[in-house]
Amino acid sequence: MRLCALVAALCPTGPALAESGATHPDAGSVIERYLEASGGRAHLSSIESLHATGTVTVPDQGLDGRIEVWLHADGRSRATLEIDGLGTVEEGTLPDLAWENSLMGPRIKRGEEKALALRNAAIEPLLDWRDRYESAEVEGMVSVGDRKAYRLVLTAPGGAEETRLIDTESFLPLGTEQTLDSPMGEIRTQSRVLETRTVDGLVYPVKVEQTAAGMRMVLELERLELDAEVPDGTFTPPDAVQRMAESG
Amino acid sequence: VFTIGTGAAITEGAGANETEVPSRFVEAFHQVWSTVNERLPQEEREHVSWEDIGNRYRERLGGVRTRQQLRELLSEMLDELDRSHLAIVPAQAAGEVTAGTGDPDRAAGTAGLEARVLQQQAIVVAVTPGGPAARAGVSPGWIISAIEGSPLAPILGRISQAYASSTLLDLRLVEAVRSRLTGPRGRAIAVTFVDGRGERRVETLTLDAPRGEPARFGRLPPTPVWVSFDRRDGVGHLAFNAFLDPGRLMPEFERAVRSCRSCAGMVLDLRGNRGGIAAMAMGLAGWFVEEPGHALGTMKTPDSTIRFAVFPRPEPFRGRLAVLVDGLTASTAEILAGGLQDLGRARIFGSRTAGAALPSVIHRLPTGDAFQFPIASYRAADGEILEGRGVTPDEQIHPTREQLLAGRDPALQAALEWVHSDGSPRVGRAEQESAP
Repeated sequence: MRLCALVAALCPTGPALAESGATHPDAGSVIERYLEASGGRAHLSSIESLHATGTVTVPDQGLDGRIEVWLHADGRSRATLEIDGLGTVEEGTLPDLAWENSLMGPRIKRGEEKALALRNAAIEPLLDWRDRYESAEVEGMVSVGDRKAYRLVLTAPGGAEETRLIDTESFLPLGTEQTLDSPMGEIRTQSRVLETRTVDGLVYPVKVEQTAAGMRMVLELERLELDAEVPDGTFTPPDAVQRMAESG
Repeated sequence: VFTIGTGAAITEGAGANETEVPSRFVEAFHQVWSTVNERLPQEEREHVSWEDIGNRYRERLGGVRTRQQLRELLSEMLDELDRSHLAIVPAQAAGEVTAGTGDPDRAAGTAGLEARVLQQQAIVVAVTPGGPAARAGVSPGWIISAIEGSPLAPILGRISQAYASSTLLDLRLVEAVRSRLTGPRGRAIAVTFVDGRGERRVETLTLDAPRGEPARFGRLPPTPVWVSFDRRDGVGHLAFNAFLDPGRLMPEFERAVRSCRSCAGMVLDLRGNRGGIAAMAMGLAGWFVEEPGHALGTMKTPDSTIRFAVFPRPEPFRGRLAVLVDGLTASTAEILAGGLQDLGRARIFGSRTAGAALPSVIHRLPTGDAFQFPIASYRAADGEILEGRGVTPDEQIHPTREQLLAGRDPALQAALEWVHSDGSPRVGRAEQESAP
């Protein structure tokens, strides 16, 4: 689900319908089953880097574009989104820096927004979820399309909640729900996984529909590489971001 | 990133080979009515009964035989809302015929002049160098009295009456003139002018490529975009006609600001700018605002409230900033002007803006036409809704025909005077840097 997380402001889906009265397992076991279904804890832990490229469409408005994502196990990341006629949005992280560069200019992320970006920069944040989150709860089951999902609510230090919808049978991800707290306000986003694929033992969402602020976007990965050689400078922030970081 | 605001209604005539597809007409009608019902913010439609309006126009749907008739019916229905950014864009304009692609002879052409309606007369305010009007010797200040033999006065009179209490009046008046001076490149249009000596002159203008480079954004019709920058008396003057083509314009803005570090001030000329991509306004504002935490205003959708935040650039421009606006300054352009005014960062010169500031999107209809509709309401930084109100300049300046004939630009002149009124020296030589 890193694809969604990295571009969450652009990513989402229809609302999940809550069901009550069902029994459900505890969060820890759901997470372990999820990790197992996604490729296994050992395999996921061994991945040093992930490189993905694909397409982006905003179907209602006829917009098309390209996306490229780099993730490194040490917390460095970079995502580049290019939409025809709209320009380029870049965002990235270093172990203690989260930044964005878009039409609105370069900026350093701070506070909750920074914390979220750093959490989402991991190749799989749930591997060490006890370190990243204060708590995890399964708050019932919901329907996502024709599937049933556990509603896994992760609470980060500071209180921000991230909700993951995990298939009750396959334990693969079906979607996410979260509120992004940024200088632009609190923006509710949702995502729905439309397709997953297995690449080198990793089961990964490769097609995701996301909605935010009433806008729907579809991201589809065409190529996913594990442990690809990272070109020099991939994670280096743009000059303007570096200047801002240096000046505090 | 995900909000666009465009100028007001875009309508064109029907294509020659449009066919009847009545079932699609019904689908298209339903899509338009339902979209407004579900997506237009409540506060933008609570002044009418959209249900009743839908019923009235649905009854007339049976008489629709062509796409053009459907467009007219839908446009009339949408007009009852009296809100901007509601438009039916014909399929041809929405994509099939594009400036810069396909058959250039069929692409949009213009007469190479800008007009405004001043005291009920269409007056030329600018002429594109080398364009059809310039080649015919047309100058600012000339009156356009008739086009293809049809006098403009009755048309302008009717529009003035219909929009008497609307901030959209200037926009609608100029659209009426502009639409009669555009068409396929190569078309010859006879225009009757009254020149600077008061003499009637009929000039045949052969429509040519518009100024600028065509920019595309999703389903918006291709829009020619130009930007220019020059320095006058040590003051930078940045002008552009639309917030589109960010890949070209944003670097131009940066270059202008960086080259003007020692300028006494800058003038941001948004007259005639119909808006475009909202994020560009936020990005441009970042060059002029030093402190973080500010916003130009707030956009409210049914499920989110989004601040149009300004992120200060590493080395912003700190000198005086003047913004020029007029009745054709719309949407993203007035969001920027109003935001900078509310933040106390800029002084505004000119005439009230169009008050057409609803963030919108464009969807495809079953007929192939496109439908532009608002998805949010917008409040300026002072908390007031901008739609239907517009931005009122700090110094209201309306050019006169005599000033235009004399080659004067009173709004720009006033802005330059204000920049220098703090004692800044008039330094630097005038030089022009413009891009198509």
